[in-house]
Amino acid sequence: MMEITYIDGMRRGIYTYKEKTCPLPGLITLYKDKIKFNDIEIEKPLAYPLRKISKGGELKSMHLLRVMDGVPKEIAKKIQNKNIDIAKESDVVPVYLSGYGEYDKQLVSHFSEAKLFLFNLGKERDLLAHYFYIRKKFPNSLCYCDCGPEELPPLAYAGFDLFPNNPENEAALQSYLNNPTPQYLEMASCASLRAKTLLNLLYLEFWHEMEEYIHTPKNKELYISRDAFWRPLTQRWILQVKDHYTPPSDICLVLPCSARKPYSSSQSHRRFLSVIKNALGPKRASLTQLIVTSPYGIVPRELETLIDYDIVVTGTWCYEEIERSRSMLISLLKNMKDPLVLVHLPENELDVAKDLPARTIITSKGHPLSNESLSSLRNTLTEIKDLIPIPEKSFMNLRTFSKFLYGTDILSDNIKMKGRINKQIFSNNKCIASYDKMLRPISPLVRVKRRWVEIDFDIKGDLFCVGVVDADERIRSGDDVVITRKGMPVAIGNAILSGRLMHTMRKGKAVKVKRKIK
Amino acid sequence: MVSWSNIECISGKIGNARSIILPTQGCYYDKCYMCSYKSSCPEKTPHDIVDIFKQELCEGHDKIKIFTSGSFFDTTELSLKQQIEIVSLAAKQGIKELTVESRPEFITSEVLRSFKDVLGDVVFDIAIGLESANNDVLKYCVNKGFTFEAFERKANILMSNDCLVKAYLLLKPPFLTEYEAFMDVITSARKIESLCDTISINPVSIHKGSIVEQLWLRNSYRPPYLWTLVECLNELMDLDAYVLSHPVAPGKARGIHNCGSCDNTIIKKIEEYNLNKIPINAQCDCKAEWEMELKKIF
Repeated sequence: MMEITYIDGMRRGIYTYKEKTCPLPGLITLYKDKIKFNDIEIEKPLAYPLRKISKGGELKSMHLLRVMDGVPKEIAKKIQNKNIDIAKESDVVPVYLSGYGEYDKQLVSHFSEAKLFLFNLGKERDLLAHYFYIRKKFPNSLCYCDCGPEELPPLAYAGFDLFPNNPENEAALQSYLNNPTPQYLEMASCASLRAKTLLNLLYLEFWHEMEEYIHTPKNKELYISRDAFWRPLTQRWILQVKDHYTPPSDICLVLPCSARKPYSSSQSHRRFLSVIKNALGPKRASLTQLIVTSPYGIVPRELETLIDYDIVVTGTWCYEEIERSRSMLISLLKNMKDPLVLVHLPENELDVAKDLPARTIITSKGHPLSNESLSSLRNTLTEIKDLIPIPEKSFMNLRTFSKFLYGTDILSDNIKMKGRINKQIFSNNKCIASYDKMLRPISPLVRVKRRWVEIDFDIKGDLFCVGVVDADERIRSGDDVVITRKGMPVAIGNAILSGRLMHTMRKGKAVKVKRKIK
Repeated sequence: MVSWSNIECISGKIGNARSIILPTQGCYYDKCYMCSYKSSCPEKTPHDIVDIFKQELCEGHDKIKIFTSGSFFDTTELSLKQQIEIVSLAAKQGIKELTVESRPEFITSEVLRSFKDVLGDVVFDIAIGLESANNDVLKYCVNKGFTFEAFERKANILMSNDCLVKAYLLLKPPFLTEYEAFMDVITSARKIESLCDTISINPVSIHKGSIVEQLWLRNSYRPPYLWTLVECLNELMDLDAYVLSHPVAPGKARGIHNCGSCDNTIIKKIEEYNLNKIPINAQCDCKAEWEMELKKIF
């Protein structure tokens, strides 16, 4: 039985079989006639014709006809069809791929749940396609991939749990476990053509499958290599902003990013904000502030506390970086009725605002912080002040943040905020939410439409998978979540698994509970 | 037309053997995954095939071996008349033993009886490419087109007609790992021990245009290691049947090979084994690599 304790591409956890436990990801030792995973003896899968010489083991293997890349189509068909006939329930299933999608797919979809699936590093794309199919269908199963030390990091990142045991692989796994960051992965994947092929496929072609298993980071992320631009995390951000961000008005101000995060704490943004405050007064809450950055494309002001990163800055923007920001901007503008865009960007970023489907005013003149630029921004804002709607409610930025996080405004109409760093939000003298970098409901009266995990018992400590009745499929590991009982918040915590895994995994912790709500 | 002479063990004694490849039209079946002999055969058996055979004969041999890249008894390759003429020409050379090859479907008592007169005292040795005694290996890894039981029946017919039976076992057909290939040869050899006089282990070599070649070109297949053959031969020392191996293209990329530095030494030792059945003892750094190979799943 497997239990995941941490997931960020890589699945860390523990595997238990009859009181024997093994850490994951791990290594298995191959012998001529058997396989050993620490103390667990696994029957070696032999080619179907040789099944009778098998010596057996604690975990029983399926003996299938072996097939590999390069085989002619008719033979692939003959072998995979026969394999469908002989496939039966087993603890261990070797996944032999012929390279002919139609036959391989039929066979792989025919497999029932096994304790362990064995994959070979053949054609990288085929391997990943069939692997992600199995991973999604049988999240409780272990997956092994036959590989060398160069390909081990990207495969471990893809979530493979087991690798062949040899000193080189042991060192490769240990190095990755000691530094399980995307920047290490990207660096290590430069070790071989196949490793980089795997990484590129994971980032560019399988990011959608991958994304579910990516941890929402709490700490500063480093974007060092060019590959980092395509991290599934950044692609998830693009989708989240597109789907869940509701701009306060159709008047947008596009600003450059800053090295210091959150942006509003930086020197440059403090000056921008002071200009905005002077020009717009209370109406500034209705100004949609969009910050252009790489690799996140666009970060709306209300969401700026969610991301923290450092990237290599040279002042030169590459085509993909400009395009990502531009297309995110366009997708936001498309949902607006009559958008007006003020562009306050340095010259080398102006391409982001090229040919937008909106009226566009460039307010910067050279450097965005120059006196000329800032007074131009102030003047333009003053001119258009009448177009900006009066904010409907107080704390618009928090309400927008709340809608993004929870799919709804969890704050009531009349609220007060107390505190400096860890702010508390009060309604009718009752504390309903806390806000630092994150907004968290702490009142049973609040209702959330996202990030909920429904349970049906009185929660004591952390929440385990067995106790999860249902969970929002959009939850990702590392997300702040609200545990609810009949829709009423009973606790808040930090997700260990994605929402889907919470109710498909049979064992292990689902949410680390931070605070109970009374 | 190719022919050559070599020394080998003939009825327990070391003697000269002459091998002659007859350019017939080749095997009618031509579907085995590792074989492409048919592609180098002429479209039709030449009408003067008997004369071609005659030209390759020379004196001073104890044994003649005739290879047709097919079945000697297949009358579409060689008419019965041609077969009898060839056998009678060979028998007149003063040899003790004559070897021909055939798929089992052409072997019948009737056919064998038709050679009785021309053979005289010459022992007729019939070689059958059984490849494996495992029907699933035959069906899925070789695509042989006959079963072990068919071989068994024909081996009995051969024995009851006072012929010698020689069986070829294929070392490392596609879709098997090195370990499985080793186990298959061992198990097969033990299973057919009482059905044949000689067991010849044929390591797969990469024929141009074969299916095995396609796999090999994609890095999905490696010819067996010489170590595996050595292990087979040593393991089968105690068999009643005579075990030997004449690998094709040994030491070459397309044939059975090790690392390149130990190949020649081991090939020589295999030749000695063929003659004297001396257990093979060899060491090389690449043995560790081979041991890793035996552990593979894929």
